[in-house]
Amino acid sequence: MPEYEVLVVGGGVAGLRAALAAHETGVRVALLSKTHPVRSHDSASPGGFNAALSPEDSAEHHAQDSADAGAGLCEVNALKAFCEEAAQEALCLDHLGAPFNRTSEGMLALRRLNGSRAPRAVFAADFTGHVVLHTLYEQLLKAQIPTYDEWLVTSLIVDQGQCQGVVALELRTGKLEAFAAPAVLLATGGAGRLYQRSTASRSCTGDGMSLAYRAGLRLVDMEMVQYHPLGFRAHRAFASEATLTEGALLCDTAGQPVLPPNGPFTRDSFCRVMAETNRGQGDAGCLLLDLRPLGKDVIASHFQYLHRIARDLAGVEIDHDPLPVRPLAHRLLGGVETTLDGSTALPGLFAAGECAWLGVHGANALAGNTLITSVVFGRRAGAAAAAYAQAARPTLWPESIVKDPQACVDAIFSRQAGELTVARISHELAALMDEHVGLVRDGGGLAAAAERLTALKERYARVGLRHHGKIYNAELVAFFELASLLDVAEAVIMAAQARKESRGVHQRSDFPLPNDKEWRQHTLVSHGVNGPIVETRPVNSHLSP
Amino acid sequence: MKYAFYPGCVSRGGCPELYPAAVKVAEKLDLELQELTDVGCTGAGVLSRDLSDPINARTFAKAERNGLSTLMTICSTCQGVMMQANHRLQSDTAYRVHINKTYLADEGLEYSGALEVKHLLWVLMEDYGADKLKAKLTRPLSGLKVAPFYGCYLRRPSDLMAPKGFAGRKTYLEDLISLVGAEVVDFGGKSKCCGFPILTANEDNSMRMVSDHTGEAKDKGAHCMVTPCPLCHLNLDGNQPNAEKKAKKPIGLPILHLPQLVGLALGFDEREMELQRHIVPPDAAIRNVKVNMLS
Amino acid sequence: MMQTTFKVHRFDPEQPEHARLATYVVELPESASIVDGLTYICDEQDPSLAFRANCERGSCGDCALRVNKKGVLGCTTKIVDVVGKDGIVTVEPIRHVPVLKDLVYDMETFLWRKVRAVTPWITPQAAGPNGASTVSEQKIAEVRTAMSCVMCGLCDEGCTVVAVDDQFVGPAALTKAYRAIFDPRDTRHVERLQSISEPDGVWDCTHCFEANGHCPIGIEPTDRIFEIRDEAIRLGIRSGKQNPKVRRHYDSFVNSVKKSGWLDEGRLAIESEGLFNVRGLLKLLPTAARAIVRNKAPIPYMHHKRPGAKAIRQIIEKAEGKRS
Repeated sequence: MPEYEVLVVGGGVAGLRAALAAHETGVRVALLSKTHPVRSHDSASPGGFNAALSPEDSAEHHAQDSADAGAGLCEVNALKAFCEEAAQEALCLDHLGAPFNRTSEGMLALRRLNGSRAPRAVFAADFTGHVVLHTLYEQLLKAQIPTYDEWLVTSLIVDQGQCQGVVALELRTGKLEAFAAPAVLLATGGAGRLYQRSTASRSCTGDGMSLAYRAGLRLVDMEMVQYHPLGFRAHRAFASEATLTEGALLCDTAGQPVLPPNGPFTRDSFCRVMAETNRGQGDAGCLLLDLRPLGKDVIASHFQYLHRIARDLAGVEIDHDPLPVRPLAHRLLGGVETTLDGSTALPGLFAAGECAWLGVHGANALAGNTLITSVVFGRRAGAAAAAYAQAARPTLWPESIVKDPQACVDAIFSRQAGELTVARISHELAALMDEHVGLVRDGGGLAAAAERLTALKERYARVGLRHHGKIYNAELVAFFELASLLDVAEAVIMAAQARKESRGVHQRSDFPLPNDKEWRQHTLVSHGVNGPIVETRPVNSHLSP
Repeated sequence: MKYAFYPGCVSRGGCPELYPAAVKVAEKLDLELQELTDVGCTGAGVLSRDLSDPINARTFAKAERNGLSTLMTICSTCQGVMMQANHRLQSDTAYRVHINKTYLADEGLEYSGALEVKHLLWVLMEDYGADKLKAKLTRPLSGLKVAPFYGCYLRRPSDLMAPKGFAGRKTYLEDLISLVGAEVVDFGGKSKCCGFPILTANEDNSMRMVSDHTGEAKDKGAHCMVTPCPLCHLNLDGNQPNAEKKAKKPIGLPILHLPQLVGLALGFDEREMELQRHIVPPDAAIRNVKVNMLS
Repeated sequence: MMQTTFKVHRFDPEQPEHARLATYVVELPESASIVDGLTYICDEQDPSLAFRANCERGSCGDCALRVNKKGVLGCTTKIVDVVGKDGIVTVEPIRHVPVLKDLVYDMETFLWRKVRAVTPWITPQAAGPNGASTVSEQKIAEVRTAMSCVMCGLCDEGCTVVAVDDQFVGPAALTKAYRAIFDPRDTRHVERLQSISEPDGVWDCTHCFEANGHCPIGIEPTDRIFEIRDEAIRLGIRSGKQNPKVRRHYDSFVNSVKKSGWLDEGRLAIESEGLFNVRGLLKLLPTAARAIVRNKAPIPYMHHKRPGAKAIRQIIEKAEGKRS
């Protein structure tokens, strides 16, 4: 059985940063991930990340802009820590060789993104996440941290109230193996695959959120689903919002600009404008993103990824023609409740990145805040997990804790395969989320969603697998992922039903206005014996896990 | 049709049969060649571009000074290296000015960036034209099965070598083989590398490429192979015995230079085309054609 | 909606005798990609089909496949753009790589070990006064473009040398090496150039430009390789320690052009082996003898100076004196 002091689950930006931070303290770290690290979803993050680096800017300004975007749900302490460290982490990434764009003086170039008062985003053309991910991966190789690529965690090992390791499935062989570690750090990313029309990679299935939820932890603000305004019409790609701050125009199909000039514009209001413009047009509805005002040179130096991908996927040459866009589900702002050091209510379990919630984003993430959140809190969680592991007694749980892991797969294989398939349930889940839990919600739709979800869960309990092979059994992986998605969907729907107001990205047509008196509150969903439990907690009240 | 003529080093050195064959073919077709004699080696992809770009710019300036707008090559490698250098000099004005000032001004030379570099194959198929060429042929090579071997430099980088409007360049060799009445033997290796550039760095890999490509063409029934590149010829012909030894199998595939194939169809005999100078004797292939001429 | 016939490579190591091209008919919208097609097959027809894919937008590199005999990213390749006249799309794993199942192959032996071999992490100096390094945008832009590589391995899949030798470091790892070599913040510039010059490294590339044509991102790996070589030559590194023949060949080439304006191939062959390398020179004999017999090599061997030789020598000396 492999034993480590810190086991990081997930090889995206948060997981890599966490593994490196833990490694620096001298503990034995391993990184286990469902895909090879460079395949992580962060590679698709385009436009840049915020760091208050310019002399005119400050961490306070950054925090204030974030709080303004967050529509009253940001945690002050989290924002303070985040904005102070974002700048340090930006410089650290630069130091490690991330090839960010430069000014003519050779300084880090900063671009303004929507909602920021000043140019604040460090960027590498429009593949910033990609270079950050690859830069951190280089450092992982340098540190010679052992990696388990293409391993899927199927359960946490909890003994005497402490997380002590994980059980994981090796995709390549089909074998299940227990990993022992006094500190387990979840950095599994988001759950965008809840939605059919989303920007999410295939790996974004909420695995870590589900593991924590099943372990009795609370998921916070799960109703907050951020849409990205500039998604492609028929694909998962999206254009960076930096296109707009750098001079692109957003027009309706008649060619009329739809945005007031000179923003600032937060993503949530933006998506609402777009939804309004497209009302009644259904799937055909779109707006046109016109990059021609930028000119060929700026497109080449600042938007080379979009240039390529618009050509390949949408068949549009962006220096000649406008690109049809529409909002796509982008990411969850909620996640596993953690402290600023990434610890959770379960001793030995840590979380960072998109699967974790700290209150930085509130009800609407400021453009440019998400990627760097993974870096800042990945580092903090990695360091805290290492400190915890060093102080912890060696893991000595009885073998009996891990019941023959293979038996769990055998039990799945023993089910009767019928008309009902994992794929079908997944499709229905995504369709129901698109339909009822999308950009604009209402009580009736959410109730229908809850009812359909219950039915889907019942069907999931009965579903059999058609394929029983051991090697790269994608259906088996999808089976586990669907369990995660159903858990996350439950939390999203429950929280959305509970919040009877409109705030940030959570818009309800039956409660169109914010209600500050009653709803400066976070929603917390936990997995009870008799079904999910929803609680609320006032903003900025002390977190007591 | 008047061209500045750049024969390259190998057509006089390692493949001394190429130069006379090309010159005879050009004369027969009334291509007016003005040979550049006081110009240097292109660098062949070996020399650092820091060295070869100025040398090539000098060659271009010399051709321009003679009042010619097109430079003709008979070597794909010269063609590729010069075309890439020309592309840099044409697309980057500051670079061209720098090269002119630093390297050419001493001799009172200056390259304007207007020259076109064209391989004989392109000259034949684009400037001269297939119909006109066909009219000149006196001996159809029917019965001869020929495998085309482009190598790298006439094909890639493709946006430079076969830009929009010149997609035909991807099949000129096959077109020409058909034009002279021979049969095309298509095979996977036709646009792959012959291995010559890594002969010193990794002889095993180089020989493996020779035996792979010649062996594949032979297995597909080719009597011979034709190439527009004398460096490919050096490896495919000159090193074929070595490659056979390494691969532990006999191949024995004659390799013709492009002008030799055209020359034979224009009525030149094998002596005039200096086929006797090849390492793999093309006698059998040629005999095959003769048989067909008698029948 | 459109109907397409997919022929998909199937291989299960648990039943190797059943390797085959299996046929499926898929029905998908016009905008669908190859990955969408494979997903449809898995979901609707045959869940045992294994393939890799993740981002579905050409940024993660997970879904490199061979479609109708051409290496592509499955997620950014639309079915309508590649389907044959016969309405068939054939999907296979990329070449030169061990297949693990169906369309899933072993990237470790194919690529990752080579990426590690070029020590791709930067070794920076101490940070600047305000923490951020000062770097010219012009220089970093090239590094950035090289780093937009998604590690799909398609350049290696199309590489002339990888096809015959799996020890060759390959264009993808060389592109990664370029990223580190040319990062102005790195302090191991010379060391890197030296180690990448050893056997199986940068000099083993035939610069056939295949990689440029196979890269789905437009990074032009072959040009990166040329830039690495040019930089190595600038710094006097013309080979590694274990392949001095490469250096002798280069030096002989330069000296020959310097002396006469053009290439003296006879001299090049001999000097590449090294004048005291008896075994190497003996190896040349059969080739030389064949050339003499066939009247390829003139006897006595002569190599004349070109009229422009002097001017060419001056150019080379000037260029060699200029170290950018």
